[in-house]
Order: sequence, then structure tokens, then C-alpha cells
Amino acid sequence: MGTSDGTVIGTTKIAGSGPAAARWNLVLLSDGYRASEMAQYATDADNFVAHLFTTPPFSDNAFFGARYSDAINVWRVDVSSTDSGADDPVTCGGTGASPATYFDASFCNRGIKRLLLVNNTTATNVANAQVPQWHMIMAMVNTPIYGGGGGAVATFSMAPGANEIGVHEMGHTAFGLADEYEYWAGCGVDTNRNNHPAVEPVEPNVTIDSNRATIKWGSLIDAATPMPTTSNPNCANCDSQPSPVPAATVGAFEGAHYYHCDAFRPEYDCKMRALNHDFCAVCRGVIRSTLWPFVPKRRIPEWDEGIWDRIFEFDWVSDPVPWDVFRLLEVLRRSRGRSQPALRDELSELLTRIDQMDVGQLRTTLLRVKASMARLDAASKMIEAKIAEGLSAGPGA
Amino acid sequence: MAYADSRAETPRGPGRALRLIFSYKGNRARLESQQAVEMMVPPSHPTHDYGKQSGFWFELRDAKDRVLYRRAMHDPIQTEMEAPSGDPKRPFTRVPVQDPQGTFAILVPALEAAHSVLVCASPSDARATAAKEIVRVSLTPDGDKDDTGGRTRKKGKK
Repeated sequence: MGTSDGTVIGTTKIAGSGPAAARWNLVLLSDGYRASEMAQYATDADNFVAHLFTTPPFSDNAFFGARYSDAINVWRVDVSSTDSGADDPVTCGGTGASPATYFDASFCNRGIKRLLLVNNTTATNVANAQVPQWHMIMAMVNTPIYGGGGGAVATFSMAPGANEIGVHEMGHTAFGLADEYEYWAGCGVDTNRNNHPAVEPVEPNVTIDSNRATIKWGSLIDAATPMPTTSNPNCANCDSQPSPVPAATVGAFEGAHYYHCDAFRPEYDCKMRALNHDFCAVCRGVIRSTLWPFVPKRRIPEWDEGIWDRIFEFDWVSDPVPWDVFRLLEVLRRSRGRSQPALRDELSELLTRIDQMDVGQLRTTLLRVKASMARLDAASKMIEAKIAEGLSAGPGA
Repeated sequence: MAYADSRAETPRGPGRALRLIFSYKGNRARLESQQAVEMMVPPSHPTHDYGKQSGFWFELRDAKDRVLYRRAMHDPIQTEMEAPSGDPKRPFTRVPVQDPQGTFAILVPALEAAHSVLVCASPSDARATAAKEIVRVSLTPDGDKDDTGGRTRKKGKK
């Protein structure tokens, strides 16, 4: 079974407004859909994209009306299979079905009933041939049995709720996010997951550091939030205590990265911990910063997209200056449409938070502000110089 | 994998990237192919202050071994796998991979100053310990053999 059991029919861009070379490209592959079921695959792909794009931060505003989802092109690659479904071995309690499909989708990998995988090499070759600019490949498998899997090619079935597996796996593969759950095989099952080793994980959403002054997401933590925010009273088990703080509070919650203790996650819940929750603030920030360079700038009516490059001549990869400029412009844009009382309340809250800071925090904050202002000042001078040179040929410049 | 090694004719500059495909067996990795693609890459992660961390990342370095670009990834070398459990409260479980082997792809900007790519990973049998270099490949046309278990593909060398 394999590529002789189907055909690559073609590729359709089902979301996105720019060329593949300028956007972040998600490739969807079909497996276990017969040629007569391609219309169903199209519907399934549309449903997944609708789910993804209504998930924050993909649904968040990014820049002058553009959303982060606008950074993404979604390419639906239509691949037919001889048979419907996926292999469902009896060794895992399955039906024993063994349909002939193009990517060889199968449950029961590594003896786990719901671990649904496809042939990664075949999937990568097809994606590479159809959309060489791919950033992420996902295989959608036409089976009503709940399942999925991660890795270089994320896989999920068409069972209700299984698209959440796809979004979670995208968090890993596309955005480098860690798992925030505190168990490995399962709560009450693990015997060697009591204490996380004293080594900091490279992933941005888990840490061994619960110190307010040094934790890597410290800028998101309110001064009033206790640190650590939760502590597991029994490191031999998963912590079952409810959250002591309101939902969406950022802090340091003990239990993460497959360990009961000595590892912390940013919020009580997150899509990287359990499905059907939003991504936490840290994960949302990582996704936004990854997608930001791909967000189209075309929505400024009188400017063409390339003008940003012509004005700034910056390197998107390493230059932080334009990021700050765009953020400032976005703040100004948002401020314009808001009432004076709302802005006053926001400012009042900000001043209250500053008032609650100790001297050390205040000094750190002021240094950050000063550094940002220096970068903005440099950016302003650069823009002025470019305009003076007449490089900003657009009528809106 | 059906990738062409296009290093010799790879033009570099803005809007261009190199996709490098590595094969791995345990924590030994080697370059299988590289392909130039006209596309944008995600922004770099911080290029400093990440020593002695666990996990996986890759770096693009210049001729003076300075880091030009760096991205962390989540476990592309699969020594264990995540699987849906079906339990809504604890929706995942994990399972070890015996004799881990496979391929992974990385994407780096095709910068003029790029000289080499370095890949770091935690040991496959101790995932939460500090990562170390597992393979380094040269992006220069003649290529250099690495000494960390992987090897570069040498092109134009006799």
C-alpha cells in the first residue's frame, strides 16, 4: 500500500491573500478519501481552517485591520485513495480494517490505539512538490475514529473534536511550543515524573524558574499575582487543586513539561496542556511573533506591499526596530477609535501597576522603556532620512 | 527523499531560504539534502543566553562562528511520541520510541554571511538534560567534514 493506491489530483489555495513566497504556508493533505469523496475533503478542510482561524491569536488583529490569520496561506492538496478510512489493527481493539490509502494512515502505532500516523516521507515529498514554500504539513484522515499524532507531519482524524489535536500539534511543530501537562504516560501511572531536572527547557512556555524577577515570561505577570502561583503539595502525583486565581492569570503554575514538580507553566490552562482551551498568553505571544513578518501590509489603501521594504530596507529576521514602529502605529490606531474615559481608565490601571512595583522592578521597566525609546528615535530618524531621499515614492508616504 | 542538492547554484539574499533535510538515528544526525526555496523564514529566536538549556535548536553561523539566526524546535528527533488518550481531562499520553530514526527538516535564511549550520539536541535517553551539538554542516561549496557524529555532504571535493 502507498502511492500506488491513489493519485495526487492537484492543489488549491483555500485561504490567504499573498504569494507563497511572502506568506506562512500551511499544507493540508488528504488521506483515506476516495476520488468520489473529494468534495467531503474540501468541506472538512474548510471546517478545519474556520476552526483554526477563529482560535486566538490567529483571530487577533495584527496590523491596520489585518489579522494574524492573514499571514497564512492554506493550501489544500487533493490526494485520492483507493479506499476510505485508515488501518485499524485488531491488536489495539480495532476492527482490523486495512484500507488501501495513499499515505498509509494507520491507528495503533507504538501500541497506542488512537495514535494515528501517516508515511511522513511520502507526505513531505508531496508537499515539497506541490508547495515548496511549506512551513507546516498536516494530514487529514477520513475516519470517524478519534485520533491523531504529531511530529514533522501532524495528523488528525475527522472525528468530532479531533481538529483540536491538529491545532495542538501545530503548536509544537510550527511554533516550537512545549507540552504544558504535568504527566508522561498518565496521572497515577507515572512513577518517575516527580521532580523536573534542574535544567531550563529551551521552549518558551515552560520553565524551572518561578522567580518573578527572572522568569522568562515575567513581563506578563501582574505584581499582585503570587509566585509561584500554585505549588504541588504531593510531587508523587499530578496536582488536582483548582486554580486559586481567575482564568487567564499569568503566573507560575507548578506541574509542566511531563513533571509533577519543579517545572512551571504560565497559566492554569492552555491548549498546550489540555484541548478545548485557548492558548495561554505566552503561547499566543510566540505564535504572534512567529507570524508577524508574514502579515500582509497591503491594507494601507494607498500603499503597495513592497513599500515597507523600500522605506526601511530592514532585515525582518533580526532587526527589532520596525517591529517597535509597527507596534506604536497599532497603538495609535487603536487609540483613535476609543473614548477618552476608556483611555483614562487604561492609563490609571497602568499607573497603579507602576505604583505597586518595587524599586528594582521599576528600574528594569524604565530601562526597557528607555531602550525602546532609543530604538524608536533611531527608527524615526531612519524614516525621515529615507523620506528625504525620496525613496518613499508611494502617494501615502 | 527526492530533494536536489542545490547548494552550488544557490543564490543568497532576502526572501530566500535553505531547507535542510537531516536523517537521524538516535542522536546521530546527518545532512541528506538541501534545497534553495524562494520563501520567508520565521524570525530568529534570541541568539544569546541559551547555554545549558535542554531541548533542540539549530543555528546559522558566519565564518567567525557568530550566530546569525537561531530557532528552537519541539522534539524533531522523536525518541518518544505524543498520542491522544481520549480522556478529555488528560487528553494525551506518551510512548517511547524504540530505536528512534527518521528525518527532520530545518529552514534557515540564505544569508550572504552564512557559513555553517549547527544542530543541538539533548541526549535521546535524557531529554531534560542540557543539549549539545550533534551535527554541524558547512554551507560553503567545498564543505567540511564535521566531528560530532554527523557528516556534511561534500560537493565539488575530490
